[in-house]
Amino acid sequence: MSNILKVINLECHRSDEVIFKGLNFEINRGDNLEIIGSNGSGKTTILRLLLGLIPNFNGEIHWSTSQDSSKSEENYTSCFYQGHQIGIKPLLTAYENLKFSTSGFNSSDDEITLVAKRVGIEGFLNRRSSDLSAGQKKRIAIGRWLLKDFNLYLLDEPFTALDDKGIKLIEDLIAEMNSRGSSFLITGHRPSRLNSHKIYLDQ
Amino acid sequence: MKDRNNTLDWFMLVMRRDLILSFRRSATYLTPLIFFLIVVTFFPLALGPSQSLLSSLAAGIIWISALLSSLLAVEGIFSEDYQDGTIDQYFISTEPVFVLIFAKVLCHWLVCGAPIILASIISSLFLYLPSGVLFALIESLLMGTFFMSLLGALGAALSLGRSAILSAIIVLPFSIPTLLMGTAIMTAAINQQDYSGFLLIMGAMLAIGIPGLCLLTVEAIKLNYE
Repeated sequence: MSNILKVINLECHRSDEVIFKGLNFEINRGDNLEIIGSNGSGKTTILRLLLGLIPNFNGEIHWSTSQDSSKSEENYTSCFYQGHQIGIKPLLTAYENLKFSTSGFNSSDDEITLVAKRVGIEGFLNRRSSDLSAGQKKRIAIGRWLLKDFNLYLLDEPFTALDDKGIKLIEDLIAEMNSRGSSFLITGHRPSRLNSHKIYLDQ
Repeated sequence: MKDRNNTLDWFMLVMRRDLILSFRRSATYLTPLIFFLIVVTFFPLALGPSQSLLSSLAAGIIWISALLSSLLAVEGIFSEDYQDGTIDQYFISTEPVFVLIFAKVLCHWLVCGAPIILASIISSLFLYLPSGVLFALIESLLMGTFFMSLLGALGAALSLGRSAILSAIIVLPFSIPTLLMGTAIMTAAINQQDYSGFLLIMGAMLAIGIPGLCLLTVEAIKLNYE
């Protein structure tokens, strides 16, 4: 199996302080990886570093190491990122927040309704997001995962603000999307029930 | 589901979203408009209602007020997107980010610059702007306010997360060429000379400014990521 991401000896400093070092991992198609650590252990930094949002680091990051020479678009790893700030605009309705997202702008209304049903927000698609609870906003964000297929989902603490049903929903969705070949890189404070490799940053 | 998203789709996405957001938050277009009207009204109050005096100053007053009020509005253009992580998504996308920045600036200009131009038509009445130069005023303001929106976006990007007044201090000195061209157009129009040369220079400034300033703005936003 070809891995879509391989990280060798990753190390990151911020103002002379080592945030983390000696980090090695790889992610295969359909695999999950969890990075577990306490606050300030560098979980978000790792994700942002992989996405190129933080330019200064040591070590190697290899994307899509399949040795296919043809440079067609399918060989690129497409990434979806959900940060701590999930980018739900309070003045837009739930529907608009799905539609005007990086994954949703080519989706038809039917597709959006279908996704809303799946994540349990079909009842308030036309309500302003400022009226919704933190958990409901999080569900809009989860809906965005489903509007388009990506190779790799980088999710920063996706389980926060969710009730038990919401957590179950994420677990089901991830298992379902794994079987379609999507991989997940997830951060969190404690290990989840997901079927995944786990890396502990604090040890 | 379509997999291939082209840059135009992204451009339209940013435009549509920002337009909807601006119209739902009325402060975005009302604040610069009201600020403009207040500043313009101060001049007759301070200088007295003498028609000859106001008439000779009208073009300058309108131009300075328009510059200041378009700057006032642009200061927050990126702050919300930066705080809620939307800007991250621009940088992660495979699209050229400066096109998306241009969409934001264009939307901002439509929402804030265009009302100011309308208000300047009204204020030209009570400032006794000489008749026959109104068209020149609109033409020059159309380009001038757009250039100010571009400059203001750069200032806003440089002062992201810092004090708002900082962006005004950065940007105002760079608005001098626009102001000079604008007043040159107006002086020529009032003296019934041909002002098309100045208009062309302003157009050239815009032609360089649109790609140039948008690219610089992208780099300025990136500074916040280090």
